[in-house]
Amino acid sequence: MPQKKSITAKDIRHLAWLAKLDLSKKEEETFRSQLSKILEYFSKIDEANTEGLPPTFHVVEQYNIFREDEPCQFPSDLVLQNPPKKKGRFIKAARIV
Amino acid sequence: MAVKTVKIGLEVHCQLTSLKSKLFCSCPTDYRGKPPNTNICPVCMGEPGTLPVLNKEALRSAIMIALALHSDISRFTYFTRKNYFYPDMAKNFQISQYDGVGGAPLAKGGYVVLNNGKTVRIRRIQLEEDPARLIYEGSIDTAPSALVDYNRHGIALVEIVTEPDMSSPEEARLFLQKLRSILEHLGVFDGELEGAMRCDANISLEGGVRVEIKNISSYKEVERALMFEITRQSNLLSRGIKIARETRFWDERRRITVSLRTKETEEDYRYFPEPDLPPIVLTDEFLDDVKRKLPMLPDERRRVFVEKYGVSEQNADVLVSDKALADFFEKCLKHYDKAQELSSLLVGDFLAQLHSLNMSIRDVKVSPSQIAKLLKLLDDKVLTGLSAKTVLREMIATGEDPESIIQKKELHRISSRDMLTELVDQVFTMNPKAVEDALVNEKAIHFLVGQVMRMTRGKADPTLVREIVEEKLGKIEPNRVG
Ligand SMILES: [Zn+2]
Repeated sequence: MPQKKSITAKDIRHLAWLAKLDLSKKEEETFRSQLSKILEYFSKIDEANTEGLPPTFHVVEQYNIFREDEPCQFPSDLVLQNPPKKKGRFIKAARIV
Repeated sequence: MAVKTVKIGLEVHCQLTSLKSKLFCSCPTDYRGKPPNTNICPVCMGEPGTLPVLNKEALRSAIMIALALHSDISRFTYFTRKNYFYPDMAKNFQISQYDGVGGAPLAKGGYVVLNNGKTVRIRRIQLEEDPARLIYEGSIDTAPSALVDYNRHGIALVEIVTEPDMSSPEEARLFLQKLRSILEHLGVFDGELEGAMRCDANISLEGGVRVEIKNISSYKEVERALMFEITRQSNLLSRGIKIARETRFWDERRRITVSLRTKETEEDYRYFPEPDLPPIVLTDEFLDDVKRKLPMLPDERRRVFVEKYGVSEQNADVLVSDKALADFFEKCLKHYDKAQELSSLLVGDFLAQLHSLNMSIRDVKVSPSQIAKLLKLLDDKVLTGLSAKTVLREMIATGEDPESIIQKKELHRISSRDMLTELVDQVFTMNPKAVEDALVNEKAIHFLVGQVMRMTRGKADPTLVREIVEEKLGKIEPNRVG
């Protein structure tokens, strides 16, 4: 039986904490109702009859795609152009402890 | 304080240090000592449109480890995304494997037998990527931001999780030592490299709950961290305070564990099968091929040392607990065939001198043929056991030949009866009280012999000195009695 799950304000606050986001009371309510609707939409999947079907973990029928252990130095300075904050060659990130 | 039953389990992370490229991209692995963010590419930095591809050799190495630990390898396995927001992963998730619902780790079960005979069961073995290194400017508590170096990020890690079968910090250390030796014998790991083996531990005391300790950086730290935790928990228990089920952090500098107050739960990681990497199907042929090529492992090597070479079990245990030491022993054996004498020198004076010089077996300058020469000089009674220690120390530090050290330091054994008799006479004259004691007390004879050894800086033949001392005492005795 498909189960209806609605998202509570407490769920939203926990998700925001996990994602390191600060949400106002108003935003909490906005996301709560939006995420509830998304879950509701996905609950249609629960209606499908999967009786006796093996679980699928990957949709592409491919196996054992490997590469040889051969190193190749990428021009790292190109990659370092992307992060917005740097200090020397270090990339600066928000402190999360 | 009553000793309580302790249960310890370990979660060990070992880098596959013999690989030349990272786990899912071609970035080189030689990051140690390199400037920050040198070994990075769009794949390991998680840029849009890139795809990870599994390093075949990493899979092979992990399978070798699973076989060596008697683990049950899954014929069907795949990777899992572990989602979390922390800058040590550029993608906001770690490509790992998962032992829960919907996951399929590389291998389950298995065991390791410790040198003390205890069997530690393995729960699971899996492959995953190493996170980046974070640096905080100033103190971790006050730094406004973290500086991230992604060089290490994406290096292949094998995670080995044990059952809580160890009952003391010492056993945890023995486990890591044995594991290190096995991995080094497999040729997939070099434990000498900084940060190559790290672990988390879980520990519970009788009457308490399970506490996890994160951030243990080496096999040397594991014993310290666990000792601290046992003391902390028994203090709480003895005062009737309940122990919190929590995750703590080992602060290496302050040598204490600190509560992490994490609010994350297992389901917050939202594990799901990694869509960018197709699953792996392992065939019998592939597994048999890896099995056939497995090198000799420590337990088998120990048996060879004992049964074929005639080394004592205790010495063999010490030798095979460090692959480099066992290799060195076998090289020396080519130049000197008394295996037991050789092994005793290596596990005894040799290791002791290494330790006091703060050197590793990999740094020694001395060659196997020089060790053989030293043993032959001892056999030929050219120098005393005491002088041999001095010579050995010099050999290890400089790589100089034993003969030239003996020459230079004038360490030849003194076995001239005339010369030693003269010295004994001097000692008797200088220590009349000790001579009197020696007539009635065996122990005072040691003192007199010791004085002669001291005058010769350990070079005198101790057996001969004792003989002369006893002869001389024998000549005094009748006078006294009479
Ligand atoms: Zn890369």
